[in-house]
Amino acid sequence: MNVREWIKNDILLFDGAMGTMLHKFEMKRGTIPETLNISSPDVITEIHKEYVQAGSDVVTTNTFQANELKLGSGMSVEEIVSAAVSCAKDSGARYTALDVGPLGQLMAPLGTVSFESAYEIFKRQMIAGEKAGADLIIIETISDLYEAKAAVLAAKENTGLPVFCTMSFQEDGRTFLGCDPLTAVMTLQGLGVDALGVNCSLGPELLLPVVDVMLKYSRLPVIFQPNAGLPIFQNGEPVYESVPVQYAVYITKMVRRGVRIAGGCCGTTPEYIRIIKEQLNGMKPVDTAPLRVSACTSGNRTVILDGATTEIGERLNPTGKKKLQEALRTGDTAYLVNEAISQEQAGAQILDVNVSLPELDEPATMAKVIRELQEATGAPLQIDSSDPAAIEAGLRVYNGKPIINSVNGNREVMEKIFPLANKYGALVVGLTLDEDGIPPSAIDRLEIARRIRDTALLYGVSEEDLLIDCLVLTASAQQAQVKETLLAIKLVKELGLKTVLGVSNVSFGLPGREIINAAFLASALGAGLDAAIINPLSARYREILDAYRVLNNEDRDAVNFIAKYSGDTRSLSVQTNPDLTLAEIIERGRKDEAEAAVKKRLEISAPLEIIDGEFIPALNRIGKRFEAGEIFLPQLMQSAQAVQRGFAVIKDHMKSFGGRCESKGRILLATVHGDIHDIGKNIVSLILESYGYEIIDMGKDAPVQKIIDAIREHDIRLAGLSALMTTTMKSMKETIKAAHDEKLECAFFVGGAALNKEYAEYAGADYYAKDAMEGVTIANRFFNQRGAVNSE
Amino acid sequence: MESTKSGVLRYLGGKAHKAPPDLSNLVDDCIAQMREASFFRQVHITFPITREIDGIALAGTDLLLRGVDIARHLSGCGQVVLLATTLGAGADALINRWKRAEPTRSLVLDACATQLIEEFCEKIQRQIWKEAANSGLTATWRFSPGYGDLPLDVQPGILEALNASRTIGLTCTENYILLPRKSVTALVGLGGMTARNTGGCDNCNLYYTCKFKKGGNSDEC
Repeated sequence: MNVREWIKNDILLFDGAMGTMLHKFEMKRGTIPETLNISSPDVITEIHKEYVQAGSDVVTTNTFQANELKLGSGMSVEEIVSAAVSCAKDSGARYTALDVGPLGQLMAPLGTVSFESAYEIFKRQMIAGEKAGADLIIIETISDLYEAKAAVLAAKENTGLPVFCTMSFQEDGRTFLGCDPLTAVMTLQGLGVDALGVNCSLGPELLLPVVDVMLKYSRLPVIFQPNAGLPIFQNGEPVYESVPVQYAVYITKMVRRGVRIAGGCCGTTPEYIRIIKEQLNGMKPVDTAPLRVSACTSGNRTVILDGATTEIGERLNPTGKKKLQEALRTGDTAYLVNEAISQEQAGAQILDVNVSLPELDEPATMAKVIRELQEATGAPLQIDSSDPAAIEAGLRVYNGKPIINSVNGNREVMEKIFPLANKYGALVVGLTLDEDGIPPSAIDRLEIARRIRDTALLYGVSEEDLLIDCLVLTASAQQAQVKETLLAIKLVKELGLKTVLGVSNVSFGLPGREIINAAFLASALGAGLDAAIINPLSARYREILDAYRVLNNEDRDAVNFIAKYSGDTRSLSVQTNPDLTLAEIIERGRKDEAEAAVKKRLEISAPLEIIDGEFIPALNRIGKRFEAGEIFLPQLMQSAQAVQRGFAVIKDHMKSFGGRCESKGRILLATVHGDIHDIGKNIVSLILESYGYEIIDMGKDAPVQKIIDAIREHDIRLAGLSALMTTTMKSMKETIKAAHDEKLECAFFVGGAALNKEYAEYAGADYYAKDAMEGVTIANRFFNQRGAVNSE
Repeated sequence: MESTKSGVLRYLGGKAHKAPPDLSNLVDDCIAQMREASFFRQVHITFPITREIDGIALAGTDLLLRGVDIARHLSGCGQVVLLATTLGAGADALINRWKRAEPTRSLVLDACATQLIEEFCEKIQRQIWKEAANSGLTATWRFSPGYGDLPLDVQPGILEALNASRTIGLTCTENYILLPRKSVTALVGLGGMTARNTGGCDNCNLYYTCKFKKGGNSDEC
């Protein structure tokens, strides 16, 4: 019987720890345990046999970190996995589970392993496991949901084996990377694993609340494999003081609550398994009644749409937004990230992301933007595109369970999008329109909603993962139909589906658009709308939502409302001092005031006068004070940010006259390969930019070839490299050498905490910059600009 | 709290009393946010040590501590406490959140995290000293890979010996960068009659470049 069949009707009992048993067999410390599959197969098989005799239905192969990162170049993943599966099968166990633990290194953005390389590393293990004859795959002890996703995709796309996945939660109920059990359930369930659950980290008692959350929401079998408690250390050896009987009591208790797959982790032995088996005494699985909710997640946050009014931020959409278009074209991610954070801070719980511009490679841009946004915001994202390739690119790199925006009643569109939604576990917005456009009547829109639902179900997308947008026409052109939208919302709700609605379109062509929008939002909420796609920065929307949440009994005891509206709201406005000169504004780092001041100055001064007469001298003065230790680094940076804002105004101004704001020179900056400390490089970038230089920022951990290619592509004459660690400074030398070998006419300046002049020379750099201001001096001298500071 | 703040301001390049109100408020805000985002985790285990030809070995592990500085640091010690601390991934995530949108805030948060992990190490070190005193032992200052001539390549071995990826979620890259970033590994020697080594600049790997080092006065550092 296939293990998938088994868990339908029976409790599945795994084994206990491998590492703990190896200690008993006095494995020499420092041996990579996975190599024992080859060097001492008898020992490994013997351990598996003990578990089988104790009652384990499944044994787990000794391959926790049989990945190429951990094994290095000495041994092949395939050899070890194959030997390990043989050892497990030789034990006579009913099922052999290929064990796949974490990579052992953190993934980007916190670490250096990219999603794609993680996938490739896992893929080798999965393929080797299936080839060697494993019956299922268990991905376990995972802390990073993103890593779980890479592993699950690697398993499902390359093998036909059942996939189980467990994550490890700490005392705070979250994994080391901040994932909570609800988010784990929503995402893993969406990715189509066969069972999910909890393992390792703590003893069973402390993990009960985590398992309870999983049982509450999971439609899949739940796995529980805790540690034997917390070890104490004697002579450096872990000793577990837990009692097998107590451990088994907790396991059985959770089986009674609905756990279907049990076993042990660190510290557990065949004795534990034997007693669990005894206590279970042939018990059959207990059915649970999981809550079916509409929920999307990021890597560590879930937004449930049921029973609440949800706000989706619409501002990350370039349609009609010149600045956003420009930011997308130039790759100015700071602008996008700013938009995301400000919407989130205003109250948006989910952010819509649309990057569609005719001249852009939409799939690549979507993937890039989603990566950037994930680093800066914890809000779940709504991937908004009409291009299936862009949607898939976004879905793939997304960490969590996103929303797709959108499908409609057109069969072709649904046939392309629903399989993607099913594969990646995304929610889908369904627009009530089809080949013939938007039907005028509510009844006809309901009909399309019904068609969308029926098709979704065929593709395995469940009703709760469907959000219907009943669409609104403009009140100026089709006034009579606005009410149809409200009626359609009611009808779709009666059908049992969630509704979502882009609100702002209603006011198109009318003055006082915000007034119309706000009234329409209130009416739609009254009709039962679940989620509104709006501009969260609009004060009128804000007031309607805050008030509605009180009236709808969501904001209990009006706690939030009172906190927000009882005080003097006027004090929230920015305190400005009209008497400050532009130079003073810059020197004091008042970046919010810089824009207005520059605009005012542009009425009387030429752009270049402002740059050379105000920006640069002010920066020079503040730079000198920094060098003299009179001010702090953040003050220097605030001034630079103020100038940056001013530059943006000047650029806009010149553009409106058909001109361009010429940069003083183009400089490439990178934190070298292997290093991830980019804060110093970011400071240098900010300061140089404020001096009028154009920066090509290669980010952190930048591979040599990528830097070389960018130097060539952007015709770079001056490049700055940073490294913080003595171990990564060698990458500087390699990068500079590669540039010389390729005969590129590019000079290099280098910096970093552990660097000095001697090392800079050794690395082959042309200049050494001890701090950001010296970077400016070097750049000024190099590009032969006036106004060089601190000329020593 | 005040000492935390002055520590943060020192990392930001100046003396606390010189901080203008805007900056002072920003630092207060960032310290509070960083405390909230951090999850102070640590693991430390005591190992007996033996002196081998090419270095100091930790019993039951494959760790070998090479170099004259660590040998001097552990002279007279029969055991060593391996220690690893981390603020966790939340600290990194908070710093990264503001990296592009508000680089100044990101920098201040980074300095706060550096100060907080340092304070946390101090606290754990005092705890280790206390545990040692209770066993009638004296303990050295903590010594980290990268100090003096102790190479960084011992990091994976230290993490392995502490099972740190499972116990506190601490990992390291191929280039021995600890991740999450705001983390420290260190060694504290335990001995019978050994006088406590003091911390100081002599063993620091930033000896030649550190701007806080003033004539060997480590109080500044």
